[in-house]
Amino acid sequence: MEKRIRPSKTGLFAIELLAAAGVFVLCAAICVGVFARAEVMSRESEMRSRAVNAARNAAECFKASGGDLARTAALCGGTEDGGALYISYDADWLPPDAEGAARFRLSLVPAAAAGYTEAEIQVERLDLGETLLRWTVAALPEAAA
Amino acid sequence: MRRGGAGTAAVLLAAVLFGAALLISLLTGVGVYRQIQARTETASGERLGMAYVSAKVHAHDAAGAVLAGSFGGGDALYLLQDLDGLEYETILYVHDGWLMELFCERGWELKPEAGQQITPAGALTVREDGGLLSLALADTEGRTQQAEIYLRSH
Repeated sequence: MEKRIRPSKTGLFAIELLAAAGVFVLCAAICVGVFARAEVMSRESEMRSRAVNAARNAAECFKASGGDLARTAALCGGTEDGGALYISYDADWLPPDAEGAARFRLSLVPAAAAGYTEAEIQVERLDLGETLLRWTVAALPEAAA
Repeated sequence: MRRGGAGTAAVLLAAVLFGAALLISLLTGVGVYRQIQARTETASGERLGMAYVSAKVHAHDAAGAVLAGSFGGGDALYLLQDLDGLEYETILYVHDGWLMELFCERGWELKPEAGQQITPAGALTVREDGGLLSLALADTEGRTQQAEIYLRSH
């Protein structure tokens, strides 16, 4: 006569618990992924917002200077190099304290156009070599008068 | 009997581990959510005041209508406008931890408390040089946001 094995209550509970834990682990893995993505997106959003602010300030200085690079540098800081203006920022979007602490760089490259001066403003994230934004602005020479 | 006891202990341990994992993941989620919320709030708070001032400046950008001055013991921005032959001014300044706005007829001597509260702010710095308006608005925690605004009317 065949002997039937009857599962104990503890065994059944353990199986139920393991099944619940499995479902939970799956949900938790999805949630952690979503949380991590949300955190990254939040940081990226803040970074892009600050990049836009920096670029807008540089553009306004460029317009106020009538397209003159030296005057733009005097107004918004930065260094002129090879006909372009470079402004460095640290991780908090402040001027870096030390050489090598720069995390972002704004470049403003002017180009003469008929009756006005055009410039391309670009903000880069240096550690990833990623371009955060690229704008073209124009300044009228009489603005600086 | 002993086997049954060991099995119960193992199940209890699994239940405790399950509960602990649940708690940890909940706390992690709450922590991340709080961080994101705080960052969003800080960023929007920082932006709101400056965006408000910038929009006001652009709206009043006419020849001689945007002036840097002082009011209530600190820097202030004066935006002038002519309505039915009378000159009015909108004064933007920081008073008692708030960015304030006061609209009145030009020349009226009102107290800083008379203005309307816009958003919490710590200090406002206004400079005007050759058509470029430099604004710095600090929040109540000392974080400063700067904006350069080129006055098209200059």
